[in-house]
Amino acid sequence: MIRKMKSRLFGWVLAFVLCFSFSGSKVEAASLARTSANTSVSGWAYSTQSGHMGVKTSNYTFDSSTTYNTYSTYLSNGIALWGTNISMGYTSQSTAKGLIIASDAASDATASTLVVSVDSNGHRTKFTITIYSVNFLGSYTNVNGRNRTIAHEIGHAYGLGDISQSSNIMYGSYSTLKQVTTQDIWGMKVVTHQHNHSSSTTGTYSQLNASYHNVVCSSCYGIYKQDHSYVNGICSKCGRAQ
Amino acid sequence: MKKKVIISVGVVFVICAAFILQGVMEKHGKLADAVKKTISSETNKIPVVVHSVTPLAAPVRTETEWLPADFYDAFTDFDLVAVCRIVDSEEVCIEYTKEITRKEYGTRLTVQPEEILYQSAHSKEVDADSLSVWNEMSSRRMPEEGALIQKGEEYIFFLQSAEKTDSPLDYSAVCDYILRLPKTGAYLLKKGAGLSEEMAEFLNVQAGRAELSDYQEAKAGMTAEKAVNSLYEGKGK
Repeated sequence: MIRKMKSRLFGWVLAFVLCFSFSGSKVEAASLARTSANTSVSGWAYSTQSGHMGVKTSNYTFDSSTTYNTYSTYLSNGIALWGTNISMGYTSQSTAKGLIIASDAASDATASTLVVSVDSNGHRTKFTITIYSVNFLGSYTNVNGRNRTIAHEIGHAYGLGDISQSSNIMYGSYSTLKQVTTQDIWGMKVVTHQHNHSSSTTGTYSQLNASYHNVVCSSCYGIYKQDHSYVNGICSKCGRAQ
Repeated sequence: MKKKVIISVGVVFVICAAFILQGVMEKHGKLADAVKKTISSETNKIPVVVHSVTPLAAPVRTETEWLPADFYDAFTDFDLVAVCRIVDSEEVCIEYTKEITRKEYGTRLTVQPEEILYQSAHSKEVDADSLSVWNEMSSRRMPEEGALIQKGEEYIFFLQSAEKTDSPLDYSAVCDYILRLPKTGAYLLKKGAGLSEEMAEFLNVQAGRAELSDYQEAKAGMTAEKAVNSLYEGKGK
């Protein structure tokens, strides 16, 4: 009885600390500097939520010890699918960037990601991944599929959005066939700043407005809004007249 | 001698206090169980407490991985497929305790079934003027591609009985039916609207599985009622 009470007390304290930690964080508007969000040009897209991770490294914790016991292996395996492109580790500390929540709700989802807060640079500081236990662990899924679901949600947490190509990890439906592709990795390199856009970015140009043209980066295929380079009143890159 | 007596009395006191404390805690435990039972039905599911909450002014957008629609079997997983008019919509919070206390947010719709397109053989007769339907979307969790269900509008809903859901939570304390299929615009059928490509594919896959001979192939843009009727014509109650 005493042990049960202690266990309950621990659970309540943990829940309180986590809830306190994850509430009240301010969500601020942010984006990759002058990079057009929500645009998929070659197999990857930006997240539709605020900001992006901005670095390779982050960490996560669980909402309870049962969630840890049930899902920690899937978390490790899902993260491993991204290879060395991210570095994400478990911590028992409530200060972790990511909180993994298990839900028993009736849902048609396997998992979902919510960005809780971003800093003034548009870099994500808190996020939650909710795993819908009935579907995630159900007979329809298998270990490979579950690992892929976690990799998909990690992609969201870092700043990637859903795409329509069913072979890519960021495809929006559960599948045992999708995997981390070159395109997914390019997206990840952008949202972790391992690949940056600047005035020297080259690629395919298209006119946008008087201030900028769009350039589809020849490396990552992301779209970047770049200043015009006027020479004799004509932009040397997109051809727009001044 | 006096010292021994005092020590003995002290030991007896401690033992008695421990027994009394244990009894009080057991009684407290039984009381808590009794309270929970008044909330739960007779199922073995986890009891829930449901309360109404005020929707947030700006919906919280999430990014979601959905089960594919063909996860469902149109003839065994749905108990009621009907054209439903939305009479009322209430954002609710479901609270339950499993190691820690968790909260789930969703919307409880009150709908008036206008036309029943399919009712499974083992489902309850729909004799009520209105039904309550759980929709997992709310202002606190609005998937990016989620479609808004509006009061006064009519939709074709694919519904599963609350008692039949795989969720370990006691949804029968929340609603009559649960709205199924991914919560995206592609699977939300507004009465009179055209079918999406995804929904047409879903219906065709279901017809193929059931080996329906008189089924008219669904195509994108086709009227939703016509396509759904073709799948369920002559099936169910």
